[in-house]
Amino acid sequence: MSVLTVEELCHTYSAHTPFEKVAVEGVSLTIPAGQFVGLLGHTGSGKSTFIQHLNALLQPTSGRVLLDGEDIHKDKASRRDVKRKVGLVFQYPEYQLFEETVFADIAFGPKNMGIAKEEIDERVREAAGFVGVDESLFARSPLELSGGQKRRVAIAGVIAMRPGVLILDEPTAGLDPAGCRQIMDNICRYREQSGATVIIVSHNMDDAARLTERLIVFDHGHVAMDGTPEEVFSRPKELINIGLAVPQATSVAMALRERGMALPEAIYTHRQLLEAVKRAKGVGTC
Amino acid sequence: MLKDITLGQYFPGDTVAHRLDPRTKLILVFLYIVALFQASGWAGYALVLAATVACMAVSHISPRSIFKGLKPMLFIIALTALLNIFYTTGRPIVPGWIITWEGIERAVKMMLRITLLIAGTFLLTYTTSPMELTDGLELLMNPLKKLRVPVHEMTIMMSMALRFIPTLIEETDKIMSAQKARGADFETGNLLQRARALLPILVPLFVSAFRRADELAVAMESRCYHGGEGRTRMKQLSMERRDAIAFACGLLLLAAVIVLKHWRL
Amino acid sequence: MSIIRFENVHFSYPDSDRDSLCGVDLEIEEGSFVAVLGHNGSGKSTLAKHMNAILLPTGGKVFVNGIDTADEQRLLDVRRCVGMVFQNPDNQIVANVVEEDVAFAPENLGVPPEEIRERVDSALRTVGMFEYRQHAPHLLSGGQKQRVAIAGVIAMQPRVLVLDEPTAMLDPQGRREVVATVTRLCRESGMTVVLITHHMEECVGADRLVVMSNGKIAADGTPGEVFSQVELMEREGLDVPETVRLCFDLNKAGFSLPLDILQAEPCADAVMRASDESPAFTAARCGRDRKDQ
Repeated sequence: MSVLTVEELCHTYSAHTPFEKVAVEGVSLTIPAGQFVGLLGHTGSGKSTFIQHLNALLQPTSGRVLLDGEDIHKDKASRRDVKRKVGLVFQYPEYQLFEETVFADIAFGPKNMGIAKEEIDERVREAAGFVGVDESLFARSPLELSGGQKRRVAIAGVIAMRPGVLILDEPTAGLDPAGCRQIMDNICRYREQSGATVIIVSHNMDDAARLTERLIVFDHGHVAMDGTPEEVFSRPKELINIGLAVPQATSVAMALRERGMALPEAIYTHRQLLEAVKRAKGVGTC
Repeated sequence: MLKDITLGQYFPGDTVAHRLDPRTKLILVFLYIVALFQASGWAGYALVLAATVACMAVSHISPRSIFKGLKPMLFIIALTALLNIFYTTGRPIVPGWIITWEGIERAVKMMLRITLLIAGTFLLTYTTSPMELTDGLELLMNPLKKLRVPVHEMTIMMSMALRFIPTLIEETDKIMSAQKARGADFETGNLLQRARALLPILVPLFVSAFRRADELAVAMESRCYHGGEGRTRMKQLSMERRDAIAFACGLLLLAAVIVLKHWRL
Repeated sequence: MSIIRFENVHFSYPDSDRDSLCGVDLEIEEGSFVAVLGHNGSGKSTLAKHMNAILLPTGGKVFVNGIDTADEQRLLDVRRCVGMVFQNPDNQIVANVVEEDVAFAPENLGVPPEEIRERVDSALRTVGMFEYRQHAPHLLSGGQKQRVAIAGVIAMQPRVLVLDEPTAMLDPQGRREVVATVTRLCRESGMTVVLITHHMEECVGADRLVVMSNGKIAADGTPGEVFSQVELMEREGLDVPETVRLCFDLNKAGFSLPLDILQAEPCADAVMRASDESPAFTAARCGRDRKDQ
């Protein structure tokens, strides 16, 4: 399984022009195999630029990205290679669907990898299974599907490449709460069954808090915070200063603490809040 | 990157060139193009070049942004120059060579002509917002309405196209990245393979363009759009003294070029 | 008086065998801020599109300011009265310069040029985009684009502003900008606002919350009243604010907290108070000693 290492990564757009803009500056971190990482930060904080470096879509202005110790920009072959190992699902991925059938669209990635036909078949079925796309839809045009289904087909198209690292940029953007839950469940299932590293860029603090093992907060192209959800959400004021929201449970906990209730430092899910309040009130322990 | 294409871009500003009536500017560009094609001797070219530089100075457009716009055309310019060098008969530079002095002269003149042609039209689009431009066009073509030419419809289509160029360019960039992430290869293979490789970009782009057109039509109707009838404009076009002066300059340029041509300068 | 009135409205799309709206009765009071919540396919967008005659009912009637929307002769009057903002900001901006886009609707209505200028400037000031009047729309952020779109509609001087999922494609920052802008429009200028959304946190500040489900109105009341029906909301696949959920689950443990508190601060106050007042709480303590705080 794959370990991602980023060393002193910098990226400047339109260098040496009046439009020059530093998007990422001096980012160093290691993401061990199998970790579930949430990337937080507001629009323009550099997180989207950052993830496009992890599969060599963007070339760093300076610094290196290593996959299992190998520089992904070593040569043309390694740049191509990394795209199979690190799958990247863009925001609104349904806008990339183009094939005549759902099956063909999911198969596009594996086909580009030069995989044998029988194996493509197997992979498409497996990927569709992960995201809950029924085989009865395989012959349909992807353009006829509902918004949530299209999104899941597009994600399956990346999963079918069996990437050891799966990166998703705002996978739930624009979906309703039921659609969001479904997509997040799909991603969790893929992670559990494949053991892949999953990195998800999200604005949804409640999802980030509930599901991930580690949160990396970007601000102005730098890593502002990096730690477990407990660690990050025990510093809610810093998050608010960066301009990010905190999970709803955290804001209620903050209000309770201000009123003198003794609550543990890190509260970021409904369950934690409920249990902590019950404990503070002396109920529910029997 | 596709984003670097500056075609049809407008740089807001408040110079005389920006304030001129778009109709004046359209006619000026027409005069300019006629002058450019009338120029034959070096003096004529020098005059048009000087006029272009003067316009750039007046409108505060840097040569750099003109060159940036020229970039996508470089191939065509170079090709024209090469063809002229090799296919013009005359006195060879070195006896026996195919390259002639006349060829070089024609190549340089052709390059100048194309460059100036593009620079002139860029000056128009850089200093005139697409809305003004289409307004100007609509008014200039107004007499054609009597011949049942759908002038308003044509101009509104043009302005919508200009409005969506940056949006579609951005979208193309995004789709390209997404397909690259799925292992699509746009750089290797023969012509046919490369053309096929464009499908994963073109199909989503068309689908999205149709969706956009659909939504845009509903949005326009919601804002009470019902064709050109009874429409008013926020910015009324009016001819000022500066327009008269600009006209005079344009005509002067054309006259001077024709006179120079007559004198074979 | 109600500015929009739905009378037993049915609607089905031509290629669908299922009704998108089945018998909706709804009256919207002038000057109120109404949020419409529902999951995808609940009929909430279809409902919105009936408010300015983009869609016409296949059964029943919709009246806008007393005008039947099916009356083709008065289509412009309906659209002038009810302005509409859509989901994708890019697909509703028609011009390359912000102020020229805002001028589009008044131009269509044949407003005299000087008055268009005034309307455009005032609309841009209202949404806080006046400094950007000369900018190209495609270089603005999502929230800014959506505010330009709102300005483009209010320059038409409508009496109702309907927003069809205006925040679905925006980041949290942009969402806050848009919701703050429309709330201010309602409170300060008395504009009737109908906000269609699937983000429950955007409904908290509304006067009235309508929940749509399967083409019908599933709940209707103040946001507090609607959110307090936690089980109903869960059945509809919708979220409720954490404050409500906390009180709801605490009540299961024997408290008797109100379920209509939607903000963290008052919720914390209520939870702090609850211990001493609630008799049910003492019973739920199971005789254990309270932990020292």
